[in-house]
Amino acid sequence: MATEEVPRIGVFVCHCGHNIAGTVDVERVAEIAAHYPNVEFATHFMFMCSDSGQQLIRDKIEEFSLNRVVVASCSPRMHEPTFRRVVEEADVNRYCFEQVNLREHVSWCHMREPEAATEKAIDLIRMSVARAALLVPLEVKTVSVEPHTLVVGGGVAGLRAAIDIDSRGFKVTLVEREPELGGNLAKLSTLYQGNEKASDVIERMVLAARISENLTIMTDSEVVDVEGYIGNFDVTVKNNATDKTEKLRVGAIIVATGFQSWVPEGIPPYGMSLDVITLAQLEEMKRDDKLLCPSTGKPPKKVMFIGCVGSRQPGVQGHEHCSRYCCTAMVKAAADITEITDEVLILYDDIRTFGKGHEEVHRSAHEKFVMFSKFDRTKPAKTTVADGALSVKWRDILAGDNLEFHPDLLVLVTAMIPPEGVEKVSQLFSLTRSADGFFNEEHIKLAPLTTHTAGVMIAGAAQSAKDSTDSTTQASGAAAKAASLMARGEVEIESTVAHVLEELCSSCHTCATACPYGAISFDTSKKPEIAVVTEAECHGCGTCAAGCPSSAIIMRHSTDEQITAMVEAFLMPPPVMGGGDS
Amino acid sequence: MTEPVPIAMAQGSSCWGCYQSLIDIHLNLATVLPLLDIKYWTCVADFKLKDLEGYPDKSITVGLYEGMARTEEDIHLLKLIRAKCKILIAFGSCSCFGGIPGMANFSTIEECNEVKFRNNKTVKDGELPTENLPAIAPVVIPNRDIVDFEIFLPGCPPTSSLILTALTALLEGKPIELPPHTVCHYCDREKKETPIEKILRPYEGIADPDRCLLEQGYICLGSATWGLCEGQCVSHGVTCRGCFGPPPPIMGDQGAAAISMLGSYAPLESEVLADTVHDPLGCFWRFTYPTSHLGAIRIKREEAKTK
Repeated sequence: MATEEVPRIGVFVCHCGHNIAGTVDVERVAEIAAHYPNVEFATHFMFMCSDSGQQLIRDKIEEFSLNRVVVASCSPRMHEPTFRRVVEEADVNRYCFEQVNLREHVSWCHMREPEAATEKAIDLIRMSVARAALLVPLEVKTVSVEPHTLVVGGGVAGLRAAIDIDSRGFKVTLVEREPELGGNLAKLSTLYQGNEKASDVIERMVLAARISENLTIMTDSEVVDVEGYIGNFDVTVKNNATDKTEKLRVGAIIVATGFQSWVPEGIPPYGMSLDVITLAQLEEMKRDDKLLCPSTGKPPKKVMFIGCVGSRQPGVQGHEHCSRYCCTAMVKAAADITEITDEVLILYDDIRTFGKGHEEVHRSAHEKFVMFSKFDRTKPAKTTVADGALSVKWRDILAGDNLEFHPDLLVLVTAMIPPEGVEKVSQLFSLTRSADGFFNEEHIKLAPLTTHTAGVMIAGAAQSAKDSTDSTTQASGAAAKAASLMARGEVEIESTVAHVLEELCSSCHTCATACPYGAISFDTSKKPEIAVVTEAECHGCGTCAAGCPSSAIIMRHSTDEQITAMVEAFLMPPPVMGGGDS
Repeated sequence: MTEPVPIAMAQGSSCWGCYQSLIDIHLNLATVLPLLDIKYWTCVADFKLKDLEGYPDKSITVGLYEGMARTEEDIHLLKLIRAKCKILIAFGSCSCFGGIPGMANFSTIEECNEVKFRNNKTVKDGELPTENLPAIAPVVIPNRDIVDFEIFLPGCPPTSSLILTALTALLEGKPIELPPHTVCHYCDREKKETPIEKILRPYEGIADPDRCLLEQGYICLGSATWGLCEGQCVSHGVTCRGCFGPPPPIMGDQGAAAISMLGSYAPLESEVLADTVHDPLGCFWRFTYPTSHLGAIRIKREEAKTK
């Protein structure tokens, strides 16, 4: 049996160019590793992930009959798939590969302490070698993929994703909570940079969606239940108008649930006068050609914008993030209304018109004589209302002057925040959320569209505040991810999952309560019933194994023995045998 | 008929309940006793320590040691029976894990002396006896850290039927095969998905006789406990106190397992848990404190004092 084979471990220490070797004495680390128990071969190399580095690993596996491989390089998130493939090409099971992170965990964070960093690298490799000796080969499993994608949210991102998937010839269903498609974009007047009417853009997309052969649109509808796993989700959709529910089997899900524009209820100056509105409200007025002061019903002569309301204000009004669309949207709205007003003034903290063509929009606002004044972020502008007239006082920190303005209409350019019901969506699809409340991607750079729930992608403002350009770009990316899943037809699932020892299971339900992914159910055909792990739904987090009072759950690839071996190797280093060290 | 098997039965610091349970096999004694050549059993016959000391090493086939080893005499007896016997059985939970007397490790030996002798509520002018008594160890060390055992037979006490099963197998030269299930396996109470909303003490409320006691808020250690008792308590309306220790592999940390189970099973504020779970050490580690991780730290601390 494989578990009884004598471990023959190879240790490969990567320089990562200067990234690791600039701080860690890789030569010494490899030399010491060579003397650890069961280590047959240890070396260091410039780039382990390069073609020649990969070849080196394969050659040494053959030369020394290695059956366990430890690569000390970067984060497993970066290259674990690479090295797993390399060892498999040399007939070593992928689960007999172990990666040590000497870059993110050592050299990058201890750049100024090379000696201590080297010691830490030595410790980490010693621990991984101890674990590697206890690794066991695991079977690689696959599940089939239902060629049908669910897109949640019929805004600009959801529409883009659904149309893209349809164009690849795969079945797709688009679910939208509201009676109409278009989401937030449908509420805007014109879009930067080309001044296209938002309604035209949406109409074109909706038309494309309606004539699509493989695309089913479900408006007035919400996803109320999700079960299953990558390739095989069972989704229940409820039509809120008819109260009818429908069940769908889908292979992938794209969550494009967007954002809502923050309304600073109860926070002055909002609420001080009817003439204090948000940019979103102004956009709706513009769209309907009814730019009027709400208090008088007359067109405003003097309009003032205040930027970054609720954005970039950690702790004060709750939102730390930059909303990434509002500077350009604000200067565009200001420039747009110069033609029908006398004076337009923008109070800003920073102007970040960073996107393609955005700076041109900014310049055009200046050319149309929009006034700009930078306020002191530590001393916000003070608004008062006397006889229904607004007065705003602030200090312009570039001029150093105290200024005052009497706008007819005061527009607060507020933050993008997660939409209502985001908690429910996060629970339905087992998505985690970042501090700003938006959904977390699997990895911000390496896997920005997938999530920690395999088979569930995110796109658009559901992931973070962004404009429609970025949203549709992401949507096309997520659609490509979903389409590639459909095209493959089957998908490998991790074998690093929880396993229940039936005879020890107490059926106490602790594991099912603890499991954040709903992956544990009960086999009631057995008497007494026992816990069953649906492997495709298990993420291998180990919460159940830690919680199990009966020692009935084994975490494959992170067994108690493997973890204890690492702790022991750290606390009780084996003596360095042989070699030049005395 | 085969030759009777030489057997020695020793008792350290304990209550004698395990041997009582052995005697409780009643009429089966008539079958078992003729098969035994009793070499040492102070609680039923007039054996002296020197009798045991007099046998050649490894001359006795089976040894049972009940209780833990608190006094110098206990420790001597434990090492002695180990030397004389081929197969040594840790008999009962005290012998396996430290058991009830293992809870003495919650206190220092001086605190124990204070309660037991100097300020004993039932004694006037109490003082610490100094003559004709063996010295007492500063801390309870699990028996398995003093000698090696071939077999662990836990329980407080091991049930009579378990003892009969084990002895019969042993005398027939067969391996002792015990089911690994936890107490819950033998419990017929209905289980629903509900987590605990409130922790109840045993005297509070009236428990539903058909529903899982833990789900009703009564702390039951059934899921963390080896079910060699076949669910005696839970089937009679009493929560499991964990007296058989952790399920196989039996040297896990039963208390830690149970308390971590409660962590996810009772999603209550930590302050609420702390207020309503009285005496967590005594509740979760009642029978296994010396062999637990926490208990090991306690023993190490004591060892550090003497260094």
